[in-house]
Amino acid sequence: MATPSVSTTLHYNDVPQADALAADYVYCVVEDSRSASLGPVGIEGREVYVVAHRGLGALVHASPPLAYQATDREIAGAWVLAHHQVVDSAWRRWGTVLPLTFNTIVLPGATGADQSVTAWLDREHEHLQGKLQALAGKAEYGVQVSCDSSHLVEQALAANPDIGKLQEQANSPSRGLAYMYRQQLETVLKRAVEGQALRESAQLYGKLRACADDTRLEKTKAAGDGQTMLLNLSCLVSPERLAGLEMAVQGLRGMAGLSVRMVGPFPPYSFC
Amino acid sequence: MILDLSEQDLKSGVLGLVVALVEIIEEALRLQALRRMEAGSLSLAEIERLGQALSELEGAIERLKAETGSTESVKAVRDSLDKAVADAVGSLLDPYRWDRAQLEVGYGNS
Repeated sequence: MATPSVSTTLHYNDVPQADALAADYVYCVVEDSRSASLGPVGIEGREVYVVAHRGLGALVHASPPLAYQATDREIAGAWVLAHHQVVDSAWRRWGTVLPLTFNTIVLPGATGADQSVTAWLDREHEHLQGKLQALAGKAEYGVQVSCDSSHLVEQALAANPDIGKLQEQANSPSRGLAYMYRQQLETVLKRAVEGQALRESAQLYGKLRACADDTRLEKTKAAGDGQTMLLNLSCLVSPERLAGLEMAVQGLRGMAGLSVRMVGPFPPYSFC
Repeated sequence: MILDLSEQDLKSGVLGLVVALVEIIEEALRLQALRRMEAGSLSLAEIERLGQALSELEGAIERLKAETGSTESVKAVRDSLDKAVADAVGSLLDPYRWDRAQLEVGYGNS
């Protein structure tokens, strides 16, 4: 018997109207026991409301049972921004949120998506409540530290006196030798600079980690402009520790060759 | 998908690919030579000969790129190769990167 054919490439706009809004798109979880509407503030102006159960509330909008997909960066960017704005305003309103990743969609069970969300809140109640308590009142800050690449080279040269000898050899009058020693010098210098960067990163990490409740090391990005990014850190900070972190950042700003960027506060996206 | 290629595009594409490969081979030879130098298994005369050969090869590649105007297409091939390797290695070492990459282009199912 032939199985019914199933379209494997569904697009967001192709969903039949009947089950168009059967699922729930979930933004975040807060502590609240009242169901309420927040108005048309969601992705593409969808109405966001609270599905509450046993003291926990999930902020959702009724959504097609499909992930948001866009090939256009601008549209994707607008969706992610709308997601962030809902989480951010919930964070300001309730004080503590458990943000979920963009495109978290709960499919409907036999009795509808809101019931599925309720069942999830029930099943994960202790886990979610524990996480909310751990994040209570805390905010996320991003700290990025970069330094002048030339500063790193100077430090690396000072720490590796052998490199000076290679520099002499690289000036050899013999063409083939000069070429090979120059290549060697480049390799050794690159390794020394990387080692220096790693040592400085570790020092900075130690200093900043001591000022935060929790941290996540993010991948460093190419800084360009003669700069090398040494540390890209997400910090979870409670209000009473914020001044300490700001002071540490201020202290780094005063150090030669370093530039520091601190952004936030954000909802604790990196600590869920 | 309809391929829309001019003869000129095709030529510069193939040339870019070939020169990029020659460049990569030259770099591999140079790395090997440096390794042997550091291990102390080469005499000064051998280092001199290797250095001359490699620097001539490097000069020849640069001239070829300048004469054929293929500097840009070689760079494009190398960049896309670098990115492919970095992505493959990155996703092996850090599976979460897939999530983030998907989030950045706005799709994915978590």
